[in-house]
Amino acid sequence: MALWFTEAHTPDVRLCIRAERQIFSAESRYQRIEIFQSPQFGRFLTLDGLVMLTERDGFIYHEMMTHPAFAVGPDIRHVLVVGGGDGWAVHELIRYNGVERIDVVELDEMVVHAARGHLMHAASAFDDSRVRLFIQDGVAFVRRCRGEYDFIVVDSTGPVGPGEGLFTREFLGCCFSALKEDGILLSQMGSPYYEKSMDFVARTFSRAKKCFPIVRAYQAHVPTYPSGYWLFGFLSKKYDPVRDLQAGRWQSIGIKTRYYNTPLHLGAFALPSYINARLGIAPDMPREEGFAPTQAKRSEKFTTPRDEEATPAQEVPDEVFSPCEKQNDGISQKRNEQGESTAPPEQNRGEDFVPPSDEQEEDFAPTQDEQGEDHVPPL
Amino acid sequence: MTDQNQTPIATALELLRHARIVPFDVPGHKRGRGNRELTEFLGKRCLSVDLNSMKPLDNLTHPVSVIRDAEALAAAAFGAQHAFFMVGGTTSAVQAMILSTCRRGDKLILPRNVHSSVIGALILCGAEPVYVKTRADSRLGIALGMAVEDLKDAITRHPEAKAVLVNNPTYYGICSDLREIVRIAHRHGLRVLVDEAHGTHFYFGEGLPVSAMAAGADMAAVSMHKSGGSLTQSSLLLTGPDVNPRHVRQVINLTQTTSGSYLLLASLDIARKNLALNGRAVFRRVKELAEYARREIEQIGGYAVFSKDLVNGTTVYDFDETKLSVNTLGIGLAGIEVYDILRDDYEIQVEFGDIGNILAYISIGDTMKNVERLVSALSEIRRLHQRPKAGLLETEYIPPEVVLSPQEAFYAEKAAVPIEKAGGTVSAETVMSYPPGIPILCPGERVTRPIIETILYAREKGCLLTGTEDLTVSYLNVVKGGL
Ligand SMILES: Cc1ncc(COP(=O)(O)O)c(C=O)c1O
Repeated sequence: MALWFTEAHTPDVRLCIRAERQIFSAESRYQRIEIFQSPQFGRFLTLDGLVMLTERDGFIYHEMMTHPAFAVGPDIRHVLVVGGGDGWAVHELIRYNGVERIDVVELDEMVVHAARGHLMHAASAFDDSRVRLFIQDGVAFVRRCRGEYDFIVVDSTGPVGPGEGLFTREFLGCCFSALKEDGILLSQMGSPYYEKSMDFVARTFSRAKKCFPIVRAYQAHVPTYPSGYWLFGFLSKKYDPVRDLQAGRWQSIGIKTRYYNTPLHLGAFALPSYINARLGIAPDMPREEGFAPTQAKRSEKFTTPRDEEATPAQEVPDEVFSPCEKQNDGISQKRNEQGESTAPPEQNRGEDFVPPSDEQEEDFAPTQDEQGEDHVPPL
Repeated sequence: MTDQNQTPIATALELLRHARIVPFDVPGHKRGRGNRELTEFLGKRCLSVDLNSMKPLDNLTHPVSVIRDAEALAAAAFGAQHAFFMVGGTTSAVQAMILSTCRRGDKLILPRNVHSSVIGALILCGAEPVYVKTRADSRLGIALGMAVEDLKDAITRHPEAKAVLVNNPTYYGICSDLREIVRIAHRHGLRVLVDEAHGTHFYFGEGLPVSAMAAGADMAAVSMHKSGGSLTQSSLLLTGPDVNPRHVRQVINLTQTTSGSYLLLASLDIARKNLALNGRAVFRRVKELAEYARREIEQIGGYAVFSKDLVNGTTVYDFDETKLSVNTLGIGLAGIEVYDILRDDYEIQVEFGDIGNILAYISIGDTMKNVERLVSALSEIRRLHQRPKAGLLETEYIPPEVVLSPQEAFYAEKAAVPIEKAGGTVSAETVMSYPPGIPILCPGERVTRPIIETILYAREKGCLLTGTEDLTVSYLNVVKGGL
């Protein structure tokens, strides 16, 4: 029997992946966690019915979330990964011998458990002796750090739901403090194609600009994410990702990658005009203005993160949302192959991440209005 | 009628919705059909129970069936002799307490830091305020609770007083020794009225300060819509065993609408059920969230977070640990400035900011995730905006000089004068900062330099000043001719 995993990317667009079987399924305090086996993408992990990674295309996202920093920052030794309980970002990081310590702060222990048991890379990543895993809220963790890290990876689930806090100005500001004076932060930002999602991207981008002197967006193609097209943020205190790219030095490290390379690095920062327009980037002059340098006068003593102190007494699930429950645990719809146009909709109704059921719509993204005005590229 | 699982009003509405009675009565939107845009905005379900009094739904002004039953359930849940469902906010409950207790010329003992609804009641009924000495914490810039000694002193000075009104807890969570206040007041034949707008949870949580009814007070105004989870504007008036509920009902009906909203009434009914059944767990959780936030904010440094440490046995007899009040003067910012930065830069709305403090309302609907955001934002505000303390006004509590009763002053011949030039006059109106809605100046009080400075400072810092006829708060109505 063919089982189809379905994720609604907008109310009018769905991605269906044929799954052979379900490997793992559990409801944690925070979210529903599932792993499926599929012919096209290998195993894939979903949280609350949204694809987080697949074994086949996951290299794109995770390479782009890690290597660009190493090609720019000269001496990355201490790294913080916020989120990323699936272990793949860590897997990329441990390939650098220069990295001495990797702190991973994941809210949901069950994600780590599921990944270690069933996904490639995860077990070896978490077994590396340089890796310390903290199960706690990333926002609280980062707040307690001062000038500790060379590089922070914000590998979050998305701007709505459990990972919401990782897109806020207060979190990014705390990351600024947690970084050393030449630190770099890479964060996923979302899809720039569907309007509602682009709204989130633009908002995150402008918040980031208020926190860091250098904020640049870059892109990659991720087949299983909404619209297949993804934006990332390069937030930095000192180094510009294009001007300060040290291609030769990175190549000499000899890391073998499947997606990332240094010419692509440069290209990734060259964005389509509709995105530049939306993010307020002048294409010829990509440096940002409007940054008010933050005259931080910090007298507090250096605080080292300790999970014992940091873990709140008790935590009750935040708005947990499982769009798939009604759909046979995420596998739904034996469906007919034909009849669906692959052409993008004529009018973009501008909604991203919309779960299949109406009532829950709001948890994910503001309900779409009729306007389809936006910056969809001409078809 | 003691099964707290029941919701008589909500159940009656539900039955009626299914009965599909043809409506030839008000409201004219007729279950929403007459106003499609509104129906879309609020939802069909909501409009379909926006009904008017009719036999199956009882009548708020004269309850004999479902409203009576719902009120009886609420009374049982709150340990009161009687509970009145109010649809005019806690303002109406506070006013009903005073109007059913005091007549023109009667004296009411009260602290000066009351909500403006109390002053409004004095204007309406002509009672005269006798202020107990109100002590302040000059470091935090807030008024404290009522000390038993100060109450005794007021009673000695005015043995003919009719009642004492206590604010318990204050907005900031400060509690007075209610049991002792009740004992002394009753011994002298005074009624005890409690403005318990911020204390709904006292009736249900564990380890919280004593509630008014448990302390033996005669009446209490309880904002169900604040910590209780009902709809905005719904409230409860509770009465004890020695109060005649029929008289109170008549007083309520003097000013209450004859078309009480069933949305509000049903929300009271359902919120009461939830509190009765789950209140203990809910407020344990609220307290934990507040405790966690308190600890974390203390760790940031610079901020002073209100806590049980304030308790001193007299003016702070107890402290409500669900309240998260933070003094911001230590980072060189006025509370109202932090309030604005939180909203403008961090998309976080707190309950209010006054001159020295912000208050974040932690409730039944909060999540740890959002508490983390608040703490982080405060940490960032300190990092980015901290400045030397100079230039911030430290508030000192100055006892008012009451020249006329609020009613006399409010209805006197008046003249509008620029606030800066009002020194020495007698005010004919109220000036307050909202929230918290505690008057800086009441009708009948002498306008002094420090009061003018406080008003100007609050205006400059961006507090929302209300109460005056002049919406720009540039002019003040004062009693003509001077006194
Ligand atoms: C102490 C106090 N009493 C009474 C009220 C009046 O409540 P409502 O706004 O529901 O009329 C308030 C409201 O802020 C208050 O703080």
